[in-house]
Amino acid sequence: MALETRRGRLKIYFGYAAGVGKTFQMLEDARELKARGGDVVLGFLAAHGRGDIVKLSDGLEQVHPLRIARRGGAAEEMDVDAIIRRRPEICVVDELAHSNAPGSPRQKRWQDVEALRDAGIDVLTTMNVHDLASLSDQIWQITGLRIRETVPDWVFQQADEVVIVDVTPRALVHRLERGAIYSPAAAAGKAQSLFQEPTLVALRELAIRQTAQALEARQGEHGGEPEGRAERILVNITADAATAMLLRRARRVADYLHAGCIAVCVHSAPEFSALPASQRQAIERHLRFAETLHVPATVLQAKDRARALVDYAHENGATQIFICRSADPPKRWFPGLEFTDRVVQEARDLEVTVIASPSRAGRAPGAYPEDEAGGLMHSGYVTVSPDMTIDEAIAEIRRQAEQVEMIYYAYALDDSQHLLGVISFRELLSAERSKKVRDVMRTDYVFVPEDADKEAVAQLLAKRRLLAVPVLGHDGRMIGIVSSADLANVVQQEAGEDIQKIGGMEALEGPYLEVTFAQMVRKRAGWLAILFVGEMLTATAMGYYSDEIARAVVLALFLPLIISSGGNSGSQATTLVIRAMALGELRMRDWWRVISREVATGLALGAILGVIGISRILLWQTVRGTYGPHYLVVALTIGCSLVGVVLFGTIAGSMLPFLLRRCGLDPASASAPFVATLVDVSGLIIYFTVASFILRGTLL
Amino acid sequence: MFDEGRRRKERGQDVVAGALQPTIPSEIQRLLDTLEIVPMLHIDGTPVMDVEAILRRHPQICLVDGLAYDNPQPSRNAHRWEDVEELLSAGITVVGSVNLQYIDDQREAVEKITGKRVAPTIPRAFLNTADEIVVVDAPSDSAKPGLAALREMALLLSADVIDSGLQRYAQSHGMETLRGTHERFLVCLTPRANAERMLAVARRNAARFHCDVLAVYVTQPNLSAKDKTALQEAAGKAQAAGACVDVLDGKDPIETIVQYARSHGVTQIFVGHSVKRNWHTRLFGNPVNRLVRAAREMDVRIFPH
Repeated sequence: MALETRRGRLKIYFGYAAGVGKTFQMLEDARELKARGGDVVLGFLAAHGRGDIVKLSDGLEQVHPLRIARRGGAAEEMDVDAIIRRRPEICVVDELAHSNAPGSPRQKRWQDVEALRDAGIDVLTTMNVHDLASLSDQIWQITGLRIRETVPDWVFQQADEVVIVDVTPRALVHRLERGAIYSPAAAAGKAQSLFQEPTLVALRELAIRQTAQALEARQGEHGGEPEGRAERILVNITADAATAMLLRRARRVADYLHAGCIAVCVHSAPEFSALPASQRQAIERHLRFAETLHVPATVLQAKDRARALVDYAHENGATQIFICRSADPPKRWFPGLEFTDRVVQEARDLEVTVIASPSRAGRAPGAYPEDEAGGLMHSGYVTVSPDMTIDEAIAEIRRQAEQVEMIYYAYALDDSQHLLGVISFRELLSAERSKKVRDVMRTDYVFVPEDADKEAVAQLLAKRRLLAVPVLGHDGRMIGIVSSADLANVVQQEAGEDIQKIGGMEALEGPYLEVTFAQMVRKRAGWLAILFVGEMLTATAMGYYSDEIARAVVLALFLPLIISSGGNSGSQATTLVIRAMALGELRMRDWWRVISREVATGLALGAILGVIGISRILLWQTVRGTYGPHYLVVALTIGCSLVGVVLFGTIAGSMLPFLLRRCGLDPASASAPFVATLVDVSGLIIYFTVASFILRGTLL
Repeated sequence: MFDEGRRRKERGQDVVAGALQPTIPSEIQRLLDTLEIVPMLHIDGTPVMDVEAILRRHPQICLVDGLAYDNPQPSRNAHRWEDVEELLSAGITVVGSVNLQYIDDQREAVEKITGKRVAPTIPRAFLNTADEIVVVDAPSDSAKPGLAALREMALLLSADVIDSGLQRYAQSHGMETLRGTHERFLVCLTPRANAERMLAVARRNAARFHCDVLAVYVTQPNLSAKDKTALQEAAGKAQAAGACVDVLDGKDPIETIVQYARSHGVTQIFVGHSVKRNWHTRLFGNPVNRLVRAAREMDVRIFPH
């Protein structure tokens, strides 16, 4: 049966915050439509336990939701197939921005709604102004929150009708205080973040403007008013995290100006696949994001990126190029050579817009909401009630266990999902069976807010040696956990970079085997050359001591031994200190503690090496008599020099990272070879100074 | 509005109705039956709000239907909105209603759409002082594009009123202007920049974003006479284009402009850029690049000339 279906209409009840009455008004309209003979069903409704909503939905036919099994329980999602089979005229769908549980047929509810409309069903739905994808940065600036569940702008713009549901912020705050929206306990938490009056006022202004814009866009479709030449925006995609913001901003401006919007990524590597993996992944992510915003994007290869960008703009009729400020600190000596400046110089008849880099309380926003703890977390955790006995709790965990992948901790929650305490499995199993969970759980638990940066979460887990950490929402309710397994690749990426710098080269920015031969040589040669020039100082120093060497050739025999011991001990100390810094164990103010430990360690290590060195001389002397009559003083010289050189090596090696950080440089580039070079030259001087002191009158 | 009056009364507030429309629909009459009404005076057959009686009665809240009425000659005030100001300064909260076309800076645009002329208006400045504004919004029938346009205008107007409230709040609490709610453009006038093109683009874009355009130039002591006239010409053009022009004084023009932009909540700076290049600008960058670096929290739109 081939039915020619018209596409269903979309009506959005639009508001500036939860609680303004969107769902309420939608249901009232649905009832009225039904009373007038419309065939209305409820596709999905989140009543959140609100009596007025439940009462209004009474008498409306409800299509049963789909149950999706997932880690940490089952979720209910809209059953699109069942609705399409039922084929109503109008379907009511609450919360358009909702993300479906993993395992659902579609990821997002707006995709479900698209499917319903494709089947010719009209949809009534609700959304908030902060759900609009392109507004993400503005919302962040107003509220400090990154909204994770968003709706692409084109979905909103396709709506046949947008109704603003509006109350004054004061009235909303009253409702909140009366507990009409959230339970009073949760309300207190919310009130601190989103539900502050000036924030609400600003969101309201934004929502009203957005509604006006939607109206205008629709009138434009009817009337059409071309003025001047058509604008066309070209977005420059790079690996820079700010590209996400650039795309959102460009999309928004293009929509307002009724302009076209395209994007290009110009890279200078021979092949896109030759780009370092981290850059490639970042760019691919931005390209995917551009696609969801309906910004067509291409990738180009060119030696001169600025010129290629401008040429591409010309070829594709762009009138404006959107670029972002570089995240790197400016090239201090030749700012004119920076990419941004070069684009401005090349674009002789194009406008260039360098977009804002917003910050809030000195913090820049993350590129994507997924970069925050909230984006990594999952709900695969077990919960217990604080009033259970240990026996009951263990039974409860056994019951929940099959839905959970890994279990390290159990979380004790109250009725409104607030986290009261955490108990590890070891503690649980070793506790007395008749005790209550409340008595053994830890209440001084560690948690992260949902917008914490994932690197910060990784550091926290490493430092506190935790296997998982609970994530709390802004209202203080537990919303998930981040486990060390979730973070494994984040940490690996970060650590990889630091380790390469310790090795005395630029970070490879890619897996070892994927870096090309030329890149490998280029990245390594620079450092080696610098170190080589540094090592030349040893020749100068040796020249200075050539008299001593000539008189006591036996000294030269031990030269490599002495200086390499210094270099080795220095590299060892540097590596240890850098690792500790990277893990956040050491801060600047700890330098004094480090130096006092290293002095003691250096003396001890030097003494050990000295004893081994002296033993060898004594042994060889007895067996072969290699070192002549003065072998005792020679042994003493070697022993003392080793102590001095190793001591100096550990001190220099452990302090160099601090020094570099002080100067604002990355301590990881206090590469071990650099320390080795430094210690080689100074080790030489120590050796010959000790020798001239001890051997005076005997050999020298 | 009367429904809000009823709700407030139910919550125990002292509410009276001070002014009514000449004709009252039945559903409004039902609401009015629950409220206390201070009868209106009739001067030359025209109903006028009895300010004196309301002041004597001194309720917490007074409902005023139709804010834009003019009072006939021998009244206390020439306009009803002036009556309202009197009530406000006596500490009475006023809840009033007004149609879009009665607001002085909207009248012309509404007339273009509806073809109807209205005489009495209330000043926009009066509306801006409102503590709260609510649009009584009915979704427009897509068959009537005129209505959609009016609806859009009403929404934008209330957004502007909300914004001025937000600015007042920010000022009185010593906060920085809250960014992110709406756009504001700043055109930098320089002797050689193509002011005409920048202003035309700014005006066109501002019409789309429904936002203000500001224009500035920085006076420098070593300007030639020719440059001075060019600047004055540009400033004249900016004024003619409806931009608000300010002349700034400062040692470092870039720093001065960025400071001005910051304090005025500017979101996008329009600036001209010479395409003439030499080795110096190639290596060391030019003033525009310095501006780009200094104005981090704003978009900088660069126009070649």
